[in-house]
Formats: sequence, C-alpha cells, structure tokens
Amino acid sequence: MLRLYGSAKSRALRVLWMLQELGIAYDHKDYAPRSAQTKAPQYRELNGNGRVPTIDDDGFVLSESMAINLYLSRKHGSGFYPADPKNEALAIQWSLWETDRLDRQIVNYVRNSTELPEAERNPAVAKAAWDEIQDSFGVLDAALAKSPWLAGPAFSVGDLNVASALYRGLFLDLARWPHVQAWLRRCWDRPAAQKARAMRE
Amino acid sequence: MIKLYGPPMTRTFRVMWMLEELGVPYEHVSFPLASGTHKTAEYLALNPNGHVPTLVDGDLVLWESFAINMHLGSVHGGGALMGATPAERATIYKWTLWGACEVEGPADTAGKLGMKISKDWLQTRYRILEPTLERQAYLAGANFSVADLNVLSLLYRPAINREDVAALPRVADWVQRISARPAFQRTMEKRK
Repeated sequence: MLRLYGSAKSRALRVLWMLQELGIAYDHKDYAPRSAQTKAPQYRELNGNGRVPTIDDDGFVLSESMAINLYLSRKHGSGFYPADPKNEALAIQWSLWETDRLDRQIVNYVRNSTELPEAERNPAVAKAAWDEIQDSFGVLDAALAKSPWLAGPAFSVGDLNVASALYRGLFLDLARWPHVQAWLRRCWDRPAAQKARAMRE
Repeated sequence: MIKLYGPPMTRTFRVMWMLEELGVPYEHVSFPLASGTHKTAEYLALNPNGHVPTLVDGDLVLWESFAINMHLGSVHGGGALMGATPAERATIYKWTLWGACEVEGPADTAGKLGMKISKDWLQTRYRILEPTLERQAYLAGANFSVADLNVLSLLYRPAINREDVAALPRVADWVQRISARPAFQRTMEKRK
C-alpha cells in the first residue's frame, strides 16, 4: 500500500489533496516538519533532506510534493495528468513557476508580516516578498483571464499543484486579481480539496 | 522551427544545452539583458514574467527553463532523456523540483537580499546527491537524463562557485563525466 509521510500542516497537504482526488487507499504517517521523526535515520534513508512529504509506493520512494503529484496523477491515468504533451508541458511549467515565483515568497511574506512574534519579523523581507507576489499574481491573473484552467480545457495537476501551494493565499485579500480569486475558490471548493483542508484546520 | 529567447549567460544556457543534447535545430534570439528586450510589450506577450528563457514551438509558448527541458526531453529523441520507466520519470521530476526549491530559490532570495552563498551551504545541498551517485551513475538511474542536466546546470549560476562541491567525491566525479559530454562542450563554446 502507498504510504505518505508528512502532516497536513506541511507541503504534504498538496499530496493529501491529490490522494483524495484519486480516491486511492494510503497509509498516512503524519510527521510534522522538522519533528524528531523526520530526523530519525530510518526517515533520512527515505529522504536525505529530512523534509516532508515523502511517499513509499510499494518500494518506490519519492520526495518533492509537486513531483509526487505529477507521478501519482500520471500513474493512475486519472485525467488530471494532461495527455497532450503541450498541456503536460504547461502543467509542469506552472508547477515550477509557483516554486520559483510564489512559494517561498508567500511563506516569507506571511511569516514576516503576521505569523512570527513581532520582534522576530523582518519588514524588509516582507516587503521584498510582497513586491514579488504582486507581480506573480498579475501574471497568474492574466493567464486565468484567457483560460479557466492552467494546463488545458479542464482541472489538472497543474491547477492542483499551484492552488494547493497557495493555501496561505486563501487568507490574503486577492480582490485586485479577480481571476486568481475565482480560480482559487473553484479549485478549493472541490470536495477532495475540502477533505484535505479539513485535515489541516 | 523552435525559437529560443534569451542570452547564453542566463538560465537560457540550460535550454541551449538540452537542445544540443537532442540535436534539435533551433533559432536563437539572443540579446543583452541591458537592452531591456525582455521588458518590451512584444516579449511580455510571450512571457509576462519578463524573464528569460522563453521557448516557442509552433503554438506552444513555454517558460521556466526546467519545464522547457522536461518538455523537450519528452517530445524529442524518443524520450530517452526523460527516463525509461514511470519511476525514472518521476525521479527526474523529483530532482528537478529539488533543484528549483532547495538550490535555485534560496540562491535567488539570497541574491536579492544581498547575502553571499557560502561554501558550506552549497556543500550541504549537494551532499544529498552522494548516496544516489554511490549507487548509480546518474541521478535517475544508469543513464544520463534531464535530471542530471537540470541539477548540474545550477552550478553555472552566477553567484555559485562550483569548485565548492569538489570536496564531495561522487558529485565531483559526476560533474567531471558530464562536463566531458560533447553537447555540453559545444554549449560552453557558444557561451563564450
């Protein structure tokens, strides 16, 4: 049976969402990020980075949340993995784009503006991150003005990877980017997304 | 014909190398970043991020250098550089995303905040490769793949000193083997 390591309060949330979409059975080890369990030698053998998530699919071990979702959606012939090579390329493009242009920027912004105790916040980091986030939401909004989904005519792993990574975006004011706001809601309104979210909150 | 936009001293280099590996002809539209070509309306229509590279292949317009390389590896050369099995393909996704999240992203942020990348930092990252390269010749298995190309290309970022990984024996050997590839050498010639 497929085993997933990583709690819903980590990037494993993305994989939990994909697993709900696919409806496959799995065994969940909900290790928290940086917990003692992730530092144990047994886990380090699976993931030398010591990060979560990691999957063990009957002996095939894989890390990097977005890579896991690309693998699972492709393996299970779900339709979430675009069959057309061009849409496949776009799904991968948007996944990498999110890691490049939004992922750590959102974390840096939220941590340094609200999550950290006030004394530990660095306003310069928050500002630099927010500048990048605004540009990136502009790019995403323009793409979603042209097409309701990121990689072809239907919801795909490209949408799931980007929308799931934007979990913190659910709590930001996105009114300036109406297409992003509507798309993010469409994605997170999916029953699979709701189930994954319920595991986190 | 495929059109590739961006100067060779940028992430465009990775895609040039990939196209050399595949022997796919392409038209290279290069320009100095100082020219601001990548901020013109014409270019922004292709890549609204205003970044390089961008690849145009018929009606497909693609950005994100790593995504471009995975796409090219899928549709050219019989897919040989994208792994022989679904597990190898997934492993290529893994290493590429690892490179993007664990190396390139933090290096970009450090650059923007004016921080220097230390030898220790780079070694700690690339040390992760050692057990894999102990077990097998390349990151995704017995053969060279897009994973090797993408992850090795990170050592050619401006702020990174690739000599810093020389202390990692398996990584150093891997770098040496890949650097000897004719396609890599030809790409380096074009970079000069």
